[in-house]
Amino acid sequence: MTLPFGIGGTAMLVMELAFLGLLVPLIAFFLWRALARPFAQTAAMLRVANSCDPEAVLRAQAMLRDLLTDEEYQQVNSRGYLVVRSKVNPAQEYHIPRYQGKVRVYEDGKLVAGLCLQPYEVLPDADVIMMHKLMLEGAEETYLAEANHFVPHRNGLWRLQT
Amino acid sequence: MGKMRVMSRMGDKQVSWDSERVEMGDLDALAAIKEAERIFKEEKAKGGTAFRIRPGEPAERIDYFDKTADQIVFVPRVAGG
Repeated sequence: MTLPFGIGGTAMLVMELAFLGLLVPLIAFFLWRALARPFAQTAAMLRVANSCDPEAVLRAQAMLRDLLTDEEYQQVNSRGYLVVRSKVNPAQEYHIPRYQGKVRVYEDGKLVAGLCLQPYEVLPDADVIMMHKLMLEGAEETYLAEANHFVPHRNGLWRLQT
Repeated sequence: MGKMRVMSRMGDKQVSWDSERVEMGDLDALAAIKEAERIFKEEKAKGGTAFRIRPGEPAERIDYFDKTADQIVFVPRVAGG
C-alpha cells in the first residue's frame, strides 16, 4: 500500500500541521490580548448602564453636582477625572476617572500606581466618583488598605502589585 | 435642615430632619431624627461608611450619627477590585 502523498509528502504534512497547531493558538492569544480589554471595558460600562435605573443615574449626577465645587465639577467634565490630593503622601495626587475604572496615582506628575476599589453594590458612575472622593478625603488609609494596587506595565497594561 | 444620603443602585435614599424643630420638641422632627439614626445604624451594620460633608472642607468620616451635621453621605461597603 502506498501513502497518498509519499513518505516525504507525509512528513511535510505533519510538519505543516504541527506548525499550524502552534501558530493558530499564538495568533489567537495576541488577538485576545489586543481585543479583550476594550471589550471588557465596554461590557463593564454597559453592565453598569443597564444595571442602574435611569432615574438613579440622574439622581447620582444631581448629587455629584451638588457636592462638588464648580471647579471640581468643571474638572470632571473637561478633563475626564477629578483630582484629590493625598494627605498620607503630599507629593501624590489621585485622579478619579469620570467613568468607572482604576484611580490613578501621580507623584510629581508621574503615573506611579493604579488603585482598584469598587462597591459591593452596583452604583451609577457619578456615585462611584463621590465614593472615591469621600473615601480618599475622609478615610485615605482605609482606602489604601482595601484597594488592590497596580503598577504601570508596558503597553498601557497594569501589573498587580503583590 | 440636616440631610443624610445613602448611595444605592436605585438612586440615593434621602432622609431629612430639622434640628431647630427637634430642639423645640416637635414630635415629627423627633421621629425624623429617630428614623435617620435607625438608618445610620442599619447602613453601618451592612459595612457602609458615613461621611460628614461641610462646604469648602474635606469630607470627614463619622462613626456615629451627628444630628447637627448639614449633610451626611453613606458610601456602601467596598472591596478591592
